[in-house]
Amino acid sequence: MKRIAATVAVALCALCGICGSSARAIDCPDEKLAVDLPAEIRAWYRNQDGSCVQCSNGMTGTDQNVPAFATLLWDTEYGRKERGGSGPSRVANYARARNVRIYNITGNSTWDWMKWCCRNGRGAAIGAGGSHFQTLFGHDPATDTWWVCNNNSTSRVDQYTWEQFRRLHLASGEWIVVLDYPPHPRRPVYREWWK
Amino acid sequence: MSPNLVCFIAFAVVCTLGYFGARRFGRGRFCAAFLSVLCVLCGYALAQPPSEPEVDMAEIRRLGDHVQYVDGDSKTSPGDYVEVMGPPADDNHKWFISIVGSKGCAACARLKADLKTDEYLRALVTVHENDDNHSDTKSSWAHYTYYLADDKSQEFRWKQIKLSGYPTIIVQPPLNKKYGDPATVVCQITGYDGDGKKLATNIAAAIKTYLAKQAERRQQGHRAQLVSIVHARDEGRGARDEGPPEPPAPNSLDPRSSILDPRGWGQAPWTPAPKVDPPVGPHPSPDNVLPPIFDWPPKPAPGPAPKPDATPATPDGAIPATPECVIVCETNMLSREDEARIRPVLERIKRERPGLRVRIADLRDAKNLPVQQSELPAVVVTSDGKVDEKVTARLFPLFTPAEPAATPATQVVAPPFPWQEVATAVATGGSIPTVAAAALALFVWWRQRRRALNQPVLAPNLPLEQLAPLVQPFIAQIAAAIAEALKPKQQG
Repeated sequence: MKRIAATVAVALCALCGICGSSARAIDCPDEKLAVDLPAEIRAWYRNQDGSCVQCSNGMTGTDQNVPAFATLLWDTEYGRKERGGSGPSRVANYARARNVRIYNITGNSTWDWMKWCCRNGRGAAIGAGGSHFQTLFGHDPATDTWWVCNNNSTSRVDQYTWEQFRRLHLASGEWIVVLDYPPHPRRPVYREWWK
Repeated sequence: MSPNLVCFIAFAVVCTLGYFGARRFGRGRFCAAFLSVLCVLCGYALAQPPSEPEVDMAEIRRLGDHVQYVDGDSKTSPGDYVEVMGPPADDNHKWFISIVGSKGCAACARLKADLKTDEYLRALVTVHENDDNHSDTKSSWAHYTYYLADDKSQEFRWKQIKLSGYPTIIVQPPLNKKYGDPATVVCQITGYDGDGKKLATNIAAAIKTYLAKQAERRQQGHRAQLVSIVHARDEGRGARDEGPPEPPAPNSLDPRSSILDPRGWGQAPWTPAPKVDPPVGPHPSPDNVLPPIFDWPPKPAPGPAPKPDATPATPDGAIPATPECVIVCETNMLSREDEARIRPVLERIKRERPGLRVRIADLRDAKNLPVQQSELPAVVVTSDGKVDEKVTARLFPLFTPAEPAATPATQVVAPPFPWQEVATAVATGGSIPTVAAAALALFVWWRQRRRALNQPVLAPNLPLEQLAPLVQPFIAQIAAAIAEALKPKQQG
């Protein structure tokens, strides 16, 4: 009996380790998040073949209603599908080919740009994790909390402290891609504001 | 297979093997736990994405600190816009003007075209020169994005509002919350008749009204504002579109669709907005444009439709046979001052001729009436094809009632107090009929008094005044009977 209990405890601990971040996750729409994409749509951008840069860019393209970037992963009238690993030059090339306006940022200024994005209602495709790209969803300057959606686990939005986020971003090299388009409006609701 | 699933299966298999292995070989709980953890780590490692680098880190290191701007023009050479720079100025103070259109909508196409050319619309939105669907992030006063209503990737945004026609223009406050919750719909306008100035004016007017209300609320204090926002949020939820949202179509919004789809990533999970807008037919006349069906803020319900004019068509220059009163003025609008001058004349005419039709006409439309420009405004009463009465501006003072002398409020005549009823009730010792009658009389007196003072009354439609005369004889009879009954006693 004790053995069974011990095994179950170990299994639970391991599961918690795997899914640890989900307990702290929030979901769209949330005032703290700059990006507003429901989980059903994020699931379209699940990384299946090492196309994390295009998955992340696709999410920001959908968030800002830029179909040419939202459809990077598929063959559409906007262009052939873009799959596999990417670097800044490849992203610049396909953005140019699809007439998409982007900022391709590398180096120290990525931190300021990421804060600018979240402050102004935009997401960004960012280097996060070892040789990996994810989508920046939000930043709370009051608590220095960051929210990122990993294209390997699109059902949740992961939360990081500053130290965790710093390590996450540095692990992949300081590179982010920001769309030069207006942010999405908040989901509109009717309020009798004239009363 | 998803990495998490691989990881979970690996974990389950290895845990089982580890547990039973440790049990068989008698290594104890520690060994079982150790093996389990080890196997989890192995499974997780196996579940990691392929070893091929997804991000070209060498290029990132090679580039160092720099910002490359790709301007969205495929003809530009790659190196033209490479420079080191910080982020642009914040634009979270900009208002949002979103347009929801549909494919093949002529009015939508016309609006998109006018956004680029109409000077009034351009004052609100500067459309990007290479892109009709977005504003220029730097120069535009407001953030503008054009959405297609049937775009599955965007339709979740409109779940809480009602779209009843296209184009629908939605105006929302800025993200920085300076003017309240950015989700609030400040105005929603459905349809476009080609008049850019009118649309821009309507949007600007709605924003001004909203700002005035916000300022008023700020003056009322932060506490009151918070309460109203919470209240309004609840109301906003209640005002959502009727009925539950339709379930998503298969393979469109189902999160599993792209995973379970045997084609995998072969095809986009939704039909994106077309790269080039499909051609639309010729612009319809404004009458054919979809009428505004649902707008926000809601306009007051229109009054009853006027009855069709039964007057038979009269030849130009002839006075109609139907009796009518025509107010002739310079334009079709009466100034407040003229209205005050004409009102006594009209009241007299209406008293003398009840049911007379009254209309306003400008001098051009009233050519059939004997009115000169110097006489305006004038009131002309016609019947049977001839002028019965004509009152010109010079005669208006004769009809203006003299200023009544200031009368003190005490002059309001209130009905006399029902002393008789009260005295009867007291004298009879409070039987049910007398108390009821006295109460009724008191209530009627109180109501008449409030009416005399122009104050609201309780149960105004209840005809109690008609009951009072019926009760009064009854009370008088009771009083007389009491008096009769008391007389012999006094004699005795």
